[in-house]
Amino acid sequence: MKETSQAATYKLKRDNENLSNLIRTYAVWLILLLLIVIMSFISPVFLTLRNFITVFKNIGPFSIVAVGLTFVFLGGGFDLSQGAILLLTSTIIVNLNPVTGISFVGSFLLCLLAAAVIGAINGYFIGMQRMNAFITTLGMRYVLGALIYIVTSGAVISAASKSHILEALGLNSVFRIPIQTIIVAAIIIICWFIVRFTAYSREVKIVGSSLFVSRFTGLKFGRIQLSTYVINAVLAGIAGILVGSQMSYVVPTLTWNYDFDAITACAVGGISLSGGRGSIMNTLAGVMLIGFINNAMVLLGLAQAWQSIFKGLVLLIAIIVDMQIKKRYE
Amino acid sequence: MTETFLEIKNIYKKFRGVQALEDVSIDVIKGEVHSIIGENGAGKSTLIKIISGVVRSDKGNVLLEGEDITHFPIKKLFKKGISASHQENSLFDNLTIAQNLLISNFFDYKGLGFSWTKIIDSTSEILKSFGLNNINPLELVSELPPETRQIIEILKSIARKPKVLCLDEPTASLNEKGAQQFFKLLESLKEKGITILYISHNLEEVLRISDRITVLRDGKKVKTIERKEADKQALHQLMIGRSIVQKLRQKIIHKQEQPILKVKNASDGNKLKDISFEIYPGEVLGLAGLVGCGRTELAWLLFGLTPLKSGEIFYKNKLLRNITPDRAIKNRIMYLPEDRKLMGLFLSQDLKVNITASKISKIRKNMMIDFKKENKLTTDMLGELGVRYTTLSQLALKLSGGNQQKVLFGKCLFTEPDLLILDEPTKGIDVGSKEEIYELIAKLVEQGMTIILISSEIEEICKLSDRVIVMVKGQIKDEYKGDMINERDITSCYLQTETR
Repeated sequence: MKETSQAATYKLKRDNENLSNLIRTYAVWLILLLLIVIMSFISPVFLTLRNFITVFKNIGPFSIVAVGLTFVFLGGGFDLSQGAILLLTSTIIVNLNPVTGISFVGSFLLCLLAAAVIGAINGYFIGMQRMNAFITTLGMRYVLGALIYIVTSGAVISAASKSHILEALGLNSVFRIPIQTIIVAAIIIICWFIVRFTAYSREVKIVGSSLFVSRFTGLKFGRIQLSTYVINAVLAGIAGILVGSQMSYVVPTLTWNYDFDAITACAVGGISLSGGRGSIMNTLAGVMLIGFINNAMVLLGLAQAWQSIFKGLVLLIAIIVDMQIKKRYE
Repeated sequence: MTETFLEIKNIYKKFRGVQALEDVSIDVIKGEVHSIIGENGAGKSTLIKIISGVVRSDKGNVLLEGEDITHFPIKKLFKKGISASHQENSLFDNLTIAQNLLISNFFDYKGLGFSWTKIIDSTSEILKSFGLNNINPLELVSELPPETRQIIEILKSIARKPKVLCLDEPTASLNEKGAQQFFKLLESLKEKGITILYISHNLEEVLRISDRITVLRDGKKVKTIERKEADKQALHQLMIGRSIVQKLRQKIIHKQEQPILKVKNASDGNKLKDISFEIYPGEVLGLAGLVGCGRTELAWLLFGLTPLKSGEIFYKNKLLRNITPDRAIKNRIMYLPEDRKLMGLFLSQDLKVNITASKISKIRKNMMIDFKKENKLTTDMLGELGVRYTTLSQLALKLSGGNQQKVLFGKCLFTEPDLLILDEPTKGIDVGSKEEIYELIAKLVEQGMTIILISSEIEEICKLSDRVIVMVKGQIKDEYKGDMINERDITSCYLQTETR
């Protein structure tokens, strides 16, 4: 008799657990759907292929930054330097080719190398030397931002004489779908595959859920954490190249909030900021929600400030919901 | 003189399924030094915590001068005159001595009307009166040597001029000189008529200062005896005196083969000094000693969590250099840490992840996770260990203590170790799970595994080990084999050497 009642409580608990996970995973998608439905009634241009293509093109670089950051979050880290890395590679890709005559492929590889080195420096200090991730990457953000400013003398860089490949990357489409969007989709699918199926991502998640326990588990936690910062930096570097290809000029100051937007997207999507839990689908949901909110605001003719207010509100609501779920079922 | 001052009546306390105290009653007479002794886990500290209001008892009363003070908040107990210094440090490390004493209301001041210079002057006076002449009251507590800290700790607890002072292992971190100073302090407190409840492992100390002694064993009171009637032998008998548990398995003396592990003059440059021992295949080697004697440090050294400073470790006839946990696992050495929540399990991850974490290579196929194999291996392992769980994707957090401990065993066994180091394998779990784990250990040894067993429960060590090494202060003190293993000899070995 007692056995059965115990089994029943177990079952009840399990159902609740699954339910709460389910709610959390799909809540963002549902809100997104709701937003799309409401917007298609309000704005006649919202539900058009052109608008959707614009939204996806706009969130392209930002989604890659967020996907990169997902790796860092899964590994229990934190990164504030992606915005600066993005600025660096976009500056390099726009400048290097016209100024020095280095081919596009050459400057492309240089961008990736620079990003990887910066990521490795971050990762070395945080993973191997156990420095505080927040402070280290904040420092890196300042240093990179200032370096770019010094090298370019703070002047707006016009990309008048962009290389053909870069221009094609920025403007061309295949069957009305921008090449950029296809590249972004490919990168996201690859990352989703890595996080979902590989042994590497398992190690990252384990290290992220507790550094101390992973010491007793025989994992090389320092190296694993380092690798997440390198992945993040390289993806931010690629995002920078895409940004460089889209823009006709680059303002070499840290005015874009790619890093904070990426953090918001991860948090809204349901990536655990304390490490170890989450998937690329979570991040994608967060990215798309923010992308469509921005789009809706523009279509409704609301000022930039309103976009920030909505972003902030969505972030706060997401965190409140997370807390409630935790309180109720854990 | 014989009137009861503090009366402890039928106290019960249960911690997560473990009965820590059962029907304990003690009468304390005014002005006496009353010692409470017992083995690790006998319930001494819990009792003190109940009296001083840190822990709530499940049942039973505490009476002070006839007034019921059960479940009073700590502050109110202070006012009533009960003060305690616990085993855990309760000083604020980043504050100065004077600030620490001020916080504990050492000085009478009202509102804002106090002057720092006055407080500093009187602090140094007080320090002087306890023989601490060269200590600056403005020194940070974190920079003090342990004996001075301990004295400050006690000064803090006598700040309110208590009627009853509870001291939990106050000499544990003191050296010879510090202990002498401390006993002087105790004498002077006793002269002032303060009643003292004194907890210690150290029988010599207890015999030196007590008027009466209460012995606890397994959460129950054994007896209260007068100092005159007590001697070391008698106390020992009372502390251990449980019936000898029947042997779980035949003890074997291994000599025939090559040792699987040979440690020569190893030290970690900190706690461990000059450790040498051997362990033979298929043997259970028990490491006995007081908490903090260096057993865990030795395990960490063997598993590569701390580097070897000097000495050599041979494993399967090969010299091991620069051991790290991942290399140790590759060499089939595994360590089960003492704190499953902090060191052992990934609580926010599911059972599959926890079981396979220490050897992901076993479920890897071309860089991918082989989910089918993972499910199968995990199900097999959990079934073999008798873990009660709902699904494989249940979080480790949601299991009970005993089941968590079994999962931790599973995590270790998944690496297929030849040498398994168990650090407090039955800490904080219920009796039923304990028995299951004993059976598991016996089964593993039968299968040819070599085990180093670290435990504070001497009963456990004697029950399971073929050979026991006693450690005292980071060194190996003695070794017991086969039939020589018994609780009394081993405890007296590590207790007697604690004399100061």
